[in-house]
Amino acid sequence: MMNLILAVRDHWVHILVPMGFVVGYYLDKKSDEKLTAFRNKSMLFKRNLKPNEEVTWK
Amino acid sequence: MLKILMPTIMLIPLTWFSKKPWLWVNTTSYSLIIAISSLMLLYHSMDMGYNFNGSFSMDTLSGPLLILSCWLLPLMIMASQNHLNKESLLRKKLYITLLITLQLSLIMAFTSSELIMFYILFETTLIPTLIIITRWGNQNERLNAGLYFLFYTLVGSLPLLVALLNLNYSLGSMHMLTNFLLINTLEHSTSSTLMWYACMTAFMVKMPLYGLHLWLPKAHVEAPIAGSMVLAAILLKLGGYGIMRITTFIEPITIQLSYPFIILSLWGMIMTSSICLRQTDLKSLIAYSSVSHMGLVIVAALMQTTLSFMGATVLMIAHGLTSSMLFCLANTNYERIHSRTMILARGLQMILPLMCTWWLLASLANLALPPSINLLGELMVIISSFSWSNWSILLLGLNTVITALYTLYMLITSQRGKFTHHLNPLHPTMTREHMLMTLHMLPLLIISLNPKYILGTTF
Amino acid sequence: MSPYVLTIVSLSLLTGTSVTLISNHWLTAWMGLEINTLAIIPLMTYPHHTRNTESAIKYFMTQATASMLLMFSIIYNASFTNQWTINHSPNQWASLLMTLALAMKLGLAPFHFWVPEVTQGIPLLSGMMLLTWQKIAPISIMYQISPSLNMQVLMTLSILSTLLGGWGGLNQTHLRKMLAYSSIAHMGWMTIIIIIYPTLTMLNLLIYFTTTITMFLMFNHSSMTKINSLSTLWNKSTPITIIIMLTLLSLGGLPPLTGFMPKWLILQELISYKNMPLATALALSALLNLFFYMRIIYLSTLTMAPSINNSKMQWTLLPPKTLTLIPTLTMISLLFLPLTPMFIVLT
Repeated sequence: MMNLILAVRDHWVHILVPMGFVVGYYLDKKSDEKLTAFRNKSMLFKRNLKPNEEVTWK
Repeated sequence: MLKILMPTIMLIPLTWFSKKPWLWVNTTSYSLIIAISSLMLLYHSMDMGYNFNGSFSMDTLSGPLLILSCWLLPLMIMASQNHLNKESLLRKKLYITLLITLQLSLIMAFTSSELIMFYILFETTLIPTLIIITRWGNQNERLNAGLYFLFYTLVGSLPLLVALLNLNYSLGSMHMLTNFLLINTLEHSTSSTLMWYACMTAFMVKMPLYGLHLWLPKAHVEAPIAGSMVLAAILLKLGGYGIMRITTFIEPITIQLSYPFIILSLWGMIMTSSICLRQTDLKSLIAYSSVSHMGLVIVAALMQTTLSFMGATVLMIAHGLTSSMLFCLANTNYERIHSRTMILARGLQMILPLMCTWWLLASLANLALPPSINLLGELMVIISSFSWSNWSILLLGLNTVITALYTLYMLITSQRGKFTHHLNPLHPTMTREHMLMTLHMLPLLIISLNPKYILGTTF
Repeated sequence: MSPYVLTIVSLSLLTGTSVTLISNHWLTAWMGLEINTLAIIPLMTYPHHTRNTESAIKYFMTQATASMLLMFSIIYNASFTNQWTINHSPNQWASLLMTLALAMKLGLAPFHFWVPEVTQGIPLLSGMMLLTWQKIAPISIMYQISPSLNMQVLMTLSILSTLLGGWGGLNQTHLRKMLAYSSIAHMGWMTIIIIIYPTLTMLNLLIYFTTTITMFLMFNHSSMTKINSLSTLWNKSTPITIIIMLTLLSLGGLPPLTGFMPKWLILQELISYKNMPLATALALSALLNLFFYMRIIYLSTLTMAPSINNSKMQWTLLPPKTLTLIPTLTMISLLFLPLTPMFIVLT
């Protein structure tokens, strides 16, 4: 247990970049959803909206 | 897009919170992971390019350059280890932070979808580069070099700002992906000619065009290794990238107005590569060779044909890797001999045989031998300019010969010949350095297996 | 200075500007300017020194001349139009004289010679007041009469000041003089746009204030007045050297720092009026300023230890002063470019 805590204290910096990846991925996904929801105006590129999701162009 | 940007931002706290023995390892490995994950962007499923969000987009022209700038960060960090050996921990961290900041602004510059945003980020790269050159350079002349670098670029680019604002005023939008939707033809008049010049000068200074190139050898010679690498590999490409981007907004007068620029850069290629033949300073030689190669890119980008755009894109990537590798090699010499003068570092083949292999490979790539992608780029540029004007083959052919001459001159002076005796206590090459050269060389060779990924928008 | 005197002086300084800001009548506006001028003179002369006194006299003379000219133009205007209200557009000659008088108050070229001389002679914080607070009242009058200002004259004065403000600073080694020249150049940027789009003048004034106050507070922190005392700054406070560098680059208008915002917007407005040559000249004249900022940057930051330093160590006679405001002001003066839309709405 002590070793684990020591290891965490010494090597916690390794979480930073993966965290950046995760956050970046999440934000990208959000903006993608926003942009693709806009495509629902077109019949060709339409996608089904999720429940509770609203169109963005009102 | 943010998948790349956010981890790159997180590299800064990583640098500052890493403990001393882990500093280099952490930053190198994580930036390499980011670079590898950015390779995903090579694959394009659409012709148009991606629109990441409101202000960032990427297409097949900016993608390879973006990946190149991601790829170069771990290499810069690896290359600077010895240079920063004697500095304190705080300064090392500051230096790495500057490199990361530069990387961030470059990524955003290549992916920005608005021309004014591109301009802002284009200028943003000045500040970290200036600090890297003038704070960590070696000689006193670095201060002068920094001033030259800053003021050449700014004098060139402020007219660009005015021209961009004017374009923005008349077009209403400067979005790169939608510019073909805007009705925009410049008539032939003095004002539109002036605007064309204003748009071009900034990028011509950045490339640099022969005649506007004096800042470059200075900056290269005085900059520390990471500065030289990023300058040769990416900052010059901002110019080529900018030309290819902005010419779509200022059609159709490019065809007429580009003649003097094309001639000047054809002539400048001969001149600068001849200057290389009589250089005594290794870094300066590589810098002039960059100017000469960038001349080819200017010619290709101004001819505005399908093939020449492809050639320009390939040549930018190829030259980015090659010149950066040559600077790294020059730096390994510099770290052992503490002089950039070539004549002091003769006959290194005897002592550092494996390094000689890298010298050979880099030189061959520089003079565009197959299977490197340099060959592909130069061939495309030469073919397209031959079909533009038959006479250009004279200058281009001559330039190819002189390029081969000075590259061999550099190779033979540094590697062959008699070993000078004042060089006895040379320390052997390190695995780090071999790794560095490998990471430069591998992409050069691997991409030539399937070059369609770097052929740009017109492929 | 005793606290009573300081209170009275600073209150009257405040009153002077406020009176000018709220007045609708030319006479009270003029009076506010006068109170302002007189109130800062004790501040300028406080630790008594002949140089202070000389500066105060020079300041008083120029300001008195300008006020007299302003008063004359007010009376001239009143005699023609029977109007004493400010928002009435004045007579053509009166407005020309007003433009000149206010230009003299602001220190626009060719009436700029007093600015470096006066700033050089007085203490750092009074210099800060002189280059920031004292600009508010004249600029506010200009703002109010901006539609009737004389365009040709004002544009000429402005472009001259941006050029001369850059030019004059090139040869200086004193920090206060450099900042005074930078103030002249910035005044040029502010007044060139005041007829076209007065809001941008206010925006530029705000950002110029934050950057200049940051600079002065940092110089005041370790009492630096000469450029070579900067080269030993790193052993008093290293972070300040870095902040000085970035703030100066922001003052010079390099993107992505805040200083680029007013320059960008001003150029955009000039271009929307199809005034390309003026915009280009203005943009390029900012480089002259950047050149002498670069000298400060080189000495303070980019050649600090372990580079070999040619300057002598300075005696630290005074203890370092307070840093309270610097972090906030630094953030404002460096990082606010992405907030440009908010600024446009605010001003």
